[in-house]
Amino acid sequence: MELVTMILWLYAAGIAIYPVGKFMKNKTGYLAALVIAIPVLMLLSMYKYAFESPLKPYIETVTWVNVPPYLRIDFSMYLDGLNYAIALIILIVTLMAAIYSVSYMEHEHGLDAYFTLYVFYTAGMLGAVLSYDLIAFLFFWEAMLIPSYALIGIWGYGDRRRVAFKYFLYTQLGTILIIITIAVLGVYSGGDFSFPALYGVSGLIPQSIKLLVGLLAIIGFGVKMAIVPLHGWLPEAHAEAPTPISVILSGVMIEIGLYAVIRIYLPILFDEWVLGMQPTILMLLGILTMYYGGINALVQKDVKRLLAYSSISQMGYMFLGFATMTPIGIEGSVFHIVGHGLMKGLLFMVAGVLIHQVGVRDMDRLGGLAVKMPVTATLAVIGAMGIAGLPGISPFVSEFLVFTGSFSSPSDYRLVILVLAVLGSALSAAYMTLFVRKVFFGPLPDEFKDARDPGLTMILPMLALAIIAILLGVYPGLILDFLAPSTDFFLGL
Amino acid sequence: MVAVDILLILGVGTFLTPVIGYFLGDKERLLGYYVAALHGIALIYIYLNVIYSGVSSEPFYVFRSPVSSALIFDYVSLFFTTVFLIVGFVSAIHSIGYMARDRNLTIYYTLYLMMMLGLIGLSMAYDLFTFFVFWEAMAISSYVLVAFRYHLDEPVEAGMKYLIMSGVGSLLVLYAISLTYGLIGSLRLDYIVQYMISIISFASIEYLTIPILIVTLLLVGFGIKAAYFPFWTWLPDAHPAAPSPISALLSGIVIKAGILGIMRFVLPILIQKPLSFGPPIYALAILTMTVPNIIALMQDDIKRLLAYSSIVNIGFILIGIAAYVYGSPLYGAAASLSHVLSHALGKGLGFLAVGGIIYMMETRSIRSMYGLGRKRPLVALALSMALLSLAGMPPLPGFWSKWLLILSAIHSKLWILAFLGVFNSVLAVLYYIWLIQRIFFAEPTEEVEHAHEAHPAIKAALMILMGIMILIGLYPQLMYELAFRASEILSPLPRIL
Repeated sequence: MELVTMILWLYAAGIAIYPVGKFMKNKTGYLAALVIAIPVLMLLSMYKYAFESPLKPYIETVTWVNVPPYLRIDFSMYLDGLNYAIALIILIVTLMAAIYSVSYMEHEHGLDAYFTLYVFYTAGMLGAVLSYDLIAFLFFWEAMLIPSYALIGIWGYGDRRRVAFKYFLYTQLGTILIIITIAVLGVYSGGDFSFPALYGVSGLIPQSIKLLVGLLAIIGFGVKMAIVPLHGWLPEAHAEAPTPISVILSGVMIEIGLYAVIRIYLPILFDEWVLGMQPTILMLLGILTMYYGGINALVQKDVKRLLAYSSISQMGYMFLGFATMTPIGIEGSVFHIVGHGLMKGLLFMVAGVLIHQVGVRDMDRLGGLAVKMPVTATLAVIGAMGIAGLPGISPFVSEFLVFTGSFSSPSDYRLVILVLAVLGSALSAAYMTLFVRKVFFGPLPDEFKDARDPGLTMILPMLALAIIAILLGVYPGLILDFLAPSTDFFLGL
Repeated sequence: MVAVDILLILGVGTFLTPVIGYFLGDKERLLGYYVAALHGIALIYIYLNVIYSGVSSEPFYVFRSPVSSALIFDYVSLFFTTVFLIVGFVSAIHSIGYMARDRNLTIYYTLYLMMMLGLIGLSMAYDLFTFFVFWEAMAISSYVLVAFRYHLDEPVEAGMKYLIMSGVGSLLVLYAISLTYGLIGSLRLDYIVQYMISIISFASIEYLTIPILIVTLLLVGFGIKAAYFPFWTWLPDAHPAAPSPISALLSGIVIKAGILGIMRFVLPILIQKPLSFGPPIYALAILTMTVPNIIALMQDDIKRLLAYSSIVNIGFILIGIAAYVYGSPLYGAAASLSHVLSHALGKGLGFLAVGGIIYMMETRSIRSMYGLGRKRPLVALALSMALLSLAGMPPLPGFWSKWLLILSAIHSKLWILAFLGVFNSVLAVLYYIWLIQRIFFAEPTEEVEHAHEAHPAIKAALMILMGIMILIGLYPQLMYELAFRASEILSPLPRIL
């Protein structure tokens, strides 16, 4: 019952943080970090299940609703190589961002509520990734929306209320479509919503209904994934959220949409999705997203907006990997979730350092900070190299897998798509070098003479993310060794 | 027999209220505790009985001639009495605080109990005669309660409007009942269903006129109470004008009495071929959801906003009923019932929280409650929780009932209805979230800065209801179990002669 315990622990401890936080004031972040560190350790200790997973699946089931024979909803949790990687990255990024929050949010009001919502947010994401029942998934999917909405709306920057409202509305519209697909699948499975039951009825669903479900799922989750043209909420929300929340939003939350499509809809709709023009269309959507985000990132002045558009662009890679409908592409896609989570988390933290230490987000006013902030600059360069796809850092491996996957896809236009995708990665390199050059090199404006590196609580989380990314870049086997067999097995269904 | 015992508890309680009030004299506000205790006793008694002797579907005759009067306590009754008693209990506690500054409280509490007695009786009635008696007991006391603050203009006007419209509705129901008696010679539910089915299925087409007339009259009569399209015009006036605990009862459970009447007495007849009441119900559901939803977007008076949202939610309940008519009776009825429960709790909590705000600030304008969350977090949290539940957010009951409604619509292949349902749900989320945002994120206004402390009874009522909502939200089995057992009884079993 470790997985269920983890979720319950996060919710229970989240509630407890609120009264305790009233006494701890701006040290509450350490408590939140401690609360999240426990599931991290628990998950690390379950490493062996990820390896055994294809043959000996690890499932925990608690019956939630059981009204035989009409309805059955289990509070069931599942662990295999696929979601182990994602759950781990969620917990690591949230842990690091919690430590980072301690210094970053020290001057803010209501930190007790902030960290309570923060832990709820973590619990929602973790629950969504681990759940093995569609209704439980929907429950957590919605449960991660409300805390993030409040976090943006209360502690954000700029026109935060409007931005939070927009974020909520976009996501909720997507959720509506998801609920319809869930209802459709539930009708065919006779009110049993566990994933295996749903995979089992795949053959019973008529082709037209499958097409509809696929379409609605891609649109519904596409909103969360910010696939162009459904990305409208992302640049504003990610730029105006408080930075630790931007780290989570960009680093791990939007990717959960992709995970859900892979986990829930791919096995049910696989046969339909590899037919005719569908892989090509989906892959082109990925390419479009990639280019749209990349080109927009090139012209941004605001650091966090640049990173937000870069997230859209990177989401394009992940979507492309999924759209190839090949095991290798999907492995790449999931591995890119890990790599991107680390790197984008790192870069948003760098942006947060700029806001915290210098107080400026406008890249035209920044410059030459490498001299004053050597550690931050080094970390920023590592992050930029990671996103740009340089060897030695984990996104390189995953991008390579995605490209390989797109060439082995069933589409007739795979060569064109491969060329477009590879060319598109030049864009990532372009906006990332632009970012590094404008912020850290060139002449140092007089107003930043006293700028210096932040304290340890901000440096250490960034350093940890960078080290993990390099470790995975040098030895990707750490994740791929269990990710690959799980994905192969999963697609063999 | 549980039904008789409950009616005796509440009935004797009702008639003792003026006596106790007379002896209490100036301390008549203490009657609130008495009323709440009566609800609690009834609820505990019901559940002790259910646990020890189960639920039976055997009707019980009060008297047999010239028209018989029968009571039943099956799962449908259990479901509705539970909903009614929970909301009644919490509203009674709320009344202790909210009505503390009013006079004539003996009358208030007597009428309160009379209305609850009517509602509880409705859920147990097994024939149309008994049903009508309790229906009128409920309706008449609710007219007076709406106009309880008779020294003000608004309640009197709203009460008058409500009286006229609802009175017409009652008369239509009465006419339908007399037609039924003329046609069949009995008013018992099982006889009505059996004979109606045989008349409808085997008689030639010209004999269908009277069954169609009966069904239509009942749909309109109950519809005026349930306030669906186009009979909802009285609701946005009457519900805001009443004292807040009464608004909670009216919006939370009294309009559900119409739904109960439809589900119990109309639906089993209405689905028989060759009657085709599917399209009208379908249209009713769509119009009831959509039209008030758009009007609600423009409200500044928070009680009116909640009142319009009640109509929208009746529209959602009609989705389940449409699903019932279009071929998935089990899921349809269960979804409707779940939504009856979740809306009763959500809207009850909403009106009670607004009652708290009115108690603290003497205003109903949304503009003056900006920033309330920073000053008076409990009341603001209760209001947000109510709105989030109505918006269908987990872990609140609204989430569990709304997706079941959509499931039922898709189960009976009503794609357009499902899409419109979710579309309206989003539209509703729009104004709920807008409101929550104003309450929590905005800077406090002048009125909020000078708000009083809420009465402890109000706080207690809000906390109890919030606790119940979270309990059901985290453990929806409680709701689903009751709803599906009740829907097994409501869905058509092979009732051939």
